Amino acid sequence: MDRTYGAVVFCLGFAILWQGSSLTVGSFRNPGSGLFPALIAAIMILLSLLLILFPQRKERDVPQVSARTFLRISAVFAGLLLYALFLETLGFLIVSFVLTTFLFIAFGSQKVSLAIVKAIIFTGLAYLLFEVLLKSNLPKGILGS
Amino acid sequence: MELLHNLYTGFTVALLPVNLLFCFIGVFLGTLVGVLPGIGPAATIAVLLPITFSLHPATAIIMLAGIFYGTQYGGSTTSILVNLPGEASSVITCLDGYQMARRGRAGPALGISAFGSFIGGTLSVIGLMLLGPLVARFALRFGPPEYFALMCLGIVILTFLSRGSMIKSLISASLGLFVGVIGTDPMSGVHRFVYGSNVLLDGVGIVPMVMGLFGIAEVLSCLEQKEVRNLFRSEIGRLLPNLQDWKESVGPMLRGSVIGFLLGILPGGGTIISTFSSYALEKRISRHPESFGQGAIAGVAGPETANNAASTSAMVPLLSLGIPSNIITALLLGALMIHGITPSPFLVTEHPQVFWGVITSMYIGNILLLILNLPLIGLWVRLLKVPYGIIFPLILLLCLIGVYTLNNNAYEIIIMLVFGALGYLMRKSGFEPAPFCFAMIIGPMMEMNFRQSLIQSRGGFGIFFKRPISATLMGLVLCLLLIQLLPKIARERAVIASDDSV
Repeated sequence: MDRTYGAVVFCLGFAILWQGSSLTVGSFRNPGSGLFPALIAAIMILLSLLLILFPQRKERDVPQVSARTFLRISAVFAGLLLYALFLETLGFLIVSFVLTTFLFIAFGSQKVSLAIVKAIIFTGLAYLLFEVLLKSNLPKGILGS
Repeated sequence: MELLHNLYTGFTVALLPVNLLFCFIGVFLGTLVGVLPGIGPAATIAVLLPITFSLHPATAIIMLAGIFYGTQYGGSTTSILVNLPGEASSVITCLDGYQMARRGRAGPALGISAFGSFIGGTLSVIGLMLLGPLVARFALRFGPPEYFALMCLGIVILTFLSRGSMIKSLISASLGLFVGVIGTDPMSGVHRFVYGSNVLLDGVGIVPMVMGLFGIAEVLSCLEQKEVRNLFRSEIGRLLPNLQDWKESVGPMLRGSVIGFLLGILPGGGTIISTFSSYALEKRISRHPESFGQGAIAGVAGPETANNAASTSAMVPLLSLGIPSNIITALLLGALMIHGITPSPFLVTEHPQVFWGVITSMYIGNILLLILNLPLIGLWVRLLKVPYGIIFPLILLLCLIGVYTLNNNAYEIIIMLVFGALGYLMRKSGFEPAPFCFAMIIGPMMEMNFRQSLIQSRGGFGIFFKRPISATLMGLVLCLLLIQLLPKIARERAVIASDDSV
């Protein structure tokens, strides 16, 4: 596996060099804004070669993730992403309620009704803390006038 | 006399009601996240960073520092009662602490770790108070090359101490350095790797990065595990250790304080390694080394003292040099900069209220923690019974809202999620996230000092090796890198690293 990671980092190093090529590298005497990124990229390429040449002999036993677990993790992550995308259009209260309901179901295998009750309490508390106490001006979305 | 005067300055700041309140909030939250596995001080401080914008800088740092040393108290509770470290720095406490609990001595184990934490913390504050100003005076001689060399050393030590392959940790650090470059170049005003995004113009935010890397990613990886918690059900019993316990613990505590203090000061060093060193030392010099792992109280007292001493002395380089030595102090540095205070050797003279106020607040914080962790231990134990199904959604929601309220910008959430995914993948592929985070925060400072050095030397790299202080530091950097090539030491390091994953 280490060789694959090394290859990825190797490509990343070159990508940085390529994307940074428009920046002025300058000289060592008068270093420009491109010098430091170029040096980092060079170090990354060097390290990736070391990793490819000397991969760890014994793989650290990382617990294998079952397809089911992976699906669960992806679902939670997708939920968070959707939260970010809809926060400003739908408003804080709606998205927070929907997300927490989903999370309670995803994390514990509880009844939906119980999850909804908990989600209402959570959203309410978060609203009290951030909007009322800390005056954070959360997005009202479609609920706002 | 000067010291007394400084202490007076400090206590007049630390004893202000508002500072007392925020010190309490800090240590309370610290104990809370210390007890709860899954969320650590880094993510907590990141969540609370925006809230401190409206506070006085001294108040803000007093609270944030309180979270840091507070977690060192709380972390041991989970280790002892559940055999699951609340924080990485209390991993070693599981070994003997949990064994003590199984033998019905949970009370003394909790008691001695609270007292040990108190002693370590307090002794270390005294050290910080005496050493801090001296270091600051010494650091006035530092120029850009010295700062650059010191930061290189910090990164290399951090990667050296990380578990797993050092090459991978170095790659992780260089990735972090690169992400630190993104944004507007402070020296020329050129936009670098911004791709027309307005959010990236000021650079990638530290807060979304830390929350993603240590908050979101942690919760995601916890989703893999089934909830297994064998909460210790029997009575905790009396907390106060008896005379015999004290006799066995005094030595480890004093040695732990010294080890913790010294390792905490090291750039890149810190709390975790101090616990391992203390445990190893106690086991080596003990008359009954076989009792270690079977519930030896010295195996709890030493490491628990050491991690608190280290978390306090980590403030030395931050307050007197302006250089963070670990992720937490890097975040505190960010907090100070937001308040318009650039930490430097001049902090002592220019902002004595901040310098001495924060230091003296640590005496008060340690006393508060002792109260919180001894009589109120039952509260934290009850907290352990709250299922993950409640805690994880709460953490996720707090991260989402917290990062949004930074600038009222939903793109910050996306950035946090990107780092969340990155952090999860890094954990899975054996790249440590800590060097990445540390390198990203100090990256811009490093680049600035690097370029200034080169301008100063008219392009000669010799400047890093000709000046005595930076030459010594650079020498250490090279030594640490070369040591990796020596098979014997690499093997021993691998043993330490594998112990780390107990």
